[in-house]
Amino acid sequence: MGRRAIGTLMLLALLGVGGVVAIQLLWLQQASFFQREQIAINQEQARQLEKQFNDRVVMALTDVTEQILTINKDSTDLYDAVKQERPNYFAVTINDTLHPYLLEALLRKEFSRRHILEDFEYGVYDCFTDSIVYGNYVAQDTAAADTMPHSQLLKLDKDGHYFGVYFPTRHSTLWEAPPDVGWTWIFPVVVTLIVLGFFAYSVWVILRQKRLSEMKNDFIGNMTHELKTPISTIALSAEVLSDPATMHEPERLQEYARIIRSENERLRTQVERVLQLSTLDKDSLRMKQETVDMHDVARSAADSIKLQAQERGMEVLLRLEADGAIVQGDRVHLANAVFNLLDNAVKYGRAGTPIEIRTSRRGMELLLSVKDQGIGIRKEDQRHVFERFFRVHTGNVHDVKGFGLGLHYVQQIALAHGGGISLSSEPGKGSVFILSLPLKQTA
Amino acid sequence: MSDRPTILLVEDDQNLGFVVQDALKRKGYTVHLARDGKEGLKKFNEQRSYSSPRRARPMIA
Repeated sequence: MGRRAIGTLMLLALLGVGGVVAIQLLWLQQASFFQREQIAINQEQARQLEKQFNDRVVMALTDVTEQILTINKDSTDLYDAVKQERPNYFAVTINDTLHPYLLEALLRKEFSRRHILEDFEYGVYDCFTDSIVYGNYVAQDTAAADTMPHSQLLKLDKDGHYFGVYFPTRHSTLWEAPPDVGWTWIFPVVVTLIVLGFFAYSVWVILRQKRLSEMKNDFIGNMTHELKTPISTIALSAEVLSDPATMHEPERLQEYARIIRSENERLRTQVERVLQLSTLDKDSLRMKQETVDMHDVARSAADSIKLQAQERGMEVLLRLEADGAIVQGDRVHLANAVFNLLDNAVKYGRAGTPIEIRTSRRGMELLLSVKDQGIGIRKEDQRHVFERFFRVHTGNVHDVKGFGLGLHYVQQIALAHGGGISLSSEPGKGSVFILSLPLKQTA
Repeated sequence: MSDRPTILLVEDDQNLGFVVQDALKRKGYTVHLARDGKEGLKKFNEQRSYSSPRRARPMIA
């Protein structure tokens, strides 16, 4: 996929996601606005209804009080006798004791006249005995009345006689907290987050795929280059050998035979490496469990790299300082891994500088480090050097040959042995690769 | 020999360099082999009578 296609895709996806988020926000805002408005309307209606009810009750109770006064032949005017103590509890101050049944009869009459149809309870407080005489639970549905429990009527802080009327079925909406608006936003927010998460994940996948395909292309380019050279060499050699004149030059024949053999070997190892990597990929790699002395491995790897190193005027220094380097594992793979590290050190080290192999012990781990004084690796590339097919892009890549498989292989082998590989490097100064392997437990 | 042009061959691969050089020599050319671009440039400047260099930069193909 081209850069432009990805850019367009990103732009469209961003627009889409932005639109979704904007719509969600707008919708949320609208919803909450309407909800608040609806709640306000409902509350206003409830307030009106309650006010009407309260007014009716107050008027009814005022009438009841006046009738009681008339019956008691009391001429005093009880001004403002009716008090609403609670939303559903009214208290009326009176001058004298009062018989509950009389009160009930009066209350029933006045309430039904004013269409107050709620159930109610009443009680009469006698200030001489300091006690409340409870009246009945009066229900419209008389069958239910007997089963209803009596409520505890509020005892008020009053000196005189009074009676109270309590409406147990009424609950004020005004005194309750307004309903919670908070939960409706959860759903759109979750959906939006999922959409955003999905978008981020898609972008990540696309970029990763792009990287991988770039690396594969690089790999194919490198491999073609690496394979073409031996093929050309062998083809040319065959041409020279098929010239009858060459028959009489045995030295030349020898030289060409040597060249063909060495180029053939090169092809073989290259094909081997690719195959090795594809088996590594399938997780089918079987490690032998041998007792391996890593010092031996380091020595023989140093021996086999010696020629290559000498060609570049480099010296391989062995500093095998660990007091024991016996590990459990596959000798061939471990030797390959160490050789790969040395091979890199020779390729990327500056001509004429030494390469150092050092071993040391850290707890139950053996550390084998390979240090070169070369071009080093930039910070941003350090994360990637162990990835398959990754090659650091430099101006003159083809100075150095490779597929970008070597370090990936080393890492895979280290992991397969329960170890690891790390790297510290400074561009222009050189790199140190540290291979760590668990030491074999000596019983 | 002098009627044949002199060739500057720049090739970083040792074996391929040798084989190409040898094949060209057998055809009667005078061949100077350089291992990299820098060496090639040096040899080119030393002796400007070459035909156009067969390979002026490290082999990429």
